[in-house]
Amino acid sequence: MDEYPTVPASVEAADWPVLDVETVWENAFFAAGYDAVERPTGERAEYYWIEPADAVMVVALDGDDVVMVEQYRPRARRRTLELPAGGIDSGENPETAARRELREETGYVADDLAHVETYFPSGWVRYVRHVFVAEDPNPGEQALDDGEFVDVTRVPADEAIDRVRDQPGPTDGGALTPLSLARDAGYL
Amino acid sequence: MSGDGAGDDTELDSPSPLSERPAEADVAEEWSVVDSETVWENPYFSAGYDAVEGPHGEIQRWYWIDPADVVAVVAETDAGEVVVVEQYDGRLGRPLLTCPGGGVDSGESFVDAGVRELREETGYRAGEAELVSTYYPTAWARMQQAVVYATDLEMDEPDRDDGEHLDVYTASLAAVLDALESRSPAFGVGLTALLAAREAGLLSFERS
Repeated sequence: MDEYPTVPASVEAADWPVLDVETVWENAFFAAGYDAVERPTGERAEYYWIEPADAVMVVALDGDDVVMVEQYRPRARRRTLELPAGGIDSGENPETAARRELREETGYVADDLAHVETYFPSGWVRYVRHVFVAEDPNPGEQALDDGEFVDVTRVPADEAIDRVRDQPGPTDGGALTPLSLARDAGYL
Repeated sequence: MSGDGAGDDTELDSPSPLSERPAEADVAEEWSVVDSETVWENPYFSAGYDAVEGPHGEIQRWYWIDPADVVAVVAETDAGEVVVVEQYDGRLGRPLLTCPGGGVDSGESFVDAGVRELREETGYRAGEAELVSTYYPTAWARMQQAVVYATDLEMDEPDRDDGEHLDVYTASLAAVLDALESRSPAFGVGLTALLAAREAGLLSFERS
């Protein structure tokens, strides 16, 4: 696990003294609250956050194609083209989670996964996304959860970023950032 | 359901096979928000959930927060260097190395907000600026992240808010990307902005 960074849970690790931590709301998916922090100038300031589970995003390359998923997003009220992805279960290794999510959502079974990057998607959300590349995984059967409606589609690797960007409305950052990082690392 | 595909709060029916999925045009009409609850409000965002009814009558809860839209600025100097800032982030409890940027004020355009934030944080006045992209950085937050590309920079005085402490650097795109990626974890906002600007062919040089 040491090779995969996570958000520090400890108050002690913070550079600016954390005077107080308040969790205001907990639901099935995240805790929400704020830290009272002492700035270097001495004043006290409150920093608000939510804390969901860390996530994995998988760029799976089947020959010259990226394996992507299409699913309906009620919040956006449209179907979106995305990467296989999901939350890491408690205690689960990120690589194990990436292999599991790829298999569940697309059926593909990856022998080898390369860790490309781990990043914070937003300052408001205390979680990281781990980006993995799976080269030439073996096709298989999907294993979707109840309530998941996921279509698997293959997109030519050199068109994947454009296809994600060409959808109407703001782009899905969960596809844009990992694909950009994979391209920067020489995979696409 | 919400976020990066964390498990669903599904009740009732199991789905029918994908082959029975309705035609695309019909899908949107088959999902409806039956309830929306705000549970917590603070000075920066509200937090709550929508109850959404799916095509088979199942109810899912989609949890969200709604902070203001934000902008990140890829600012290129006449010398072909990129401007980055390092600033402590109390939310993540660490210094972040990223592009200049910040919150978009109500009624303000992404480009205007980018030009303003660049000037306030770094002192650079941008003679030209354009919108590169907007994206949703995380499915948990109902907010857009904009990327603005700024050039024709002239140094003026920064105008930082009280309590804003940051360092400004300029370096080649290659050096900046290496520096951002050397952080563990990296801050995705700066990385995405720089890679999007390069993907759009805006930066005048390539990473060596």
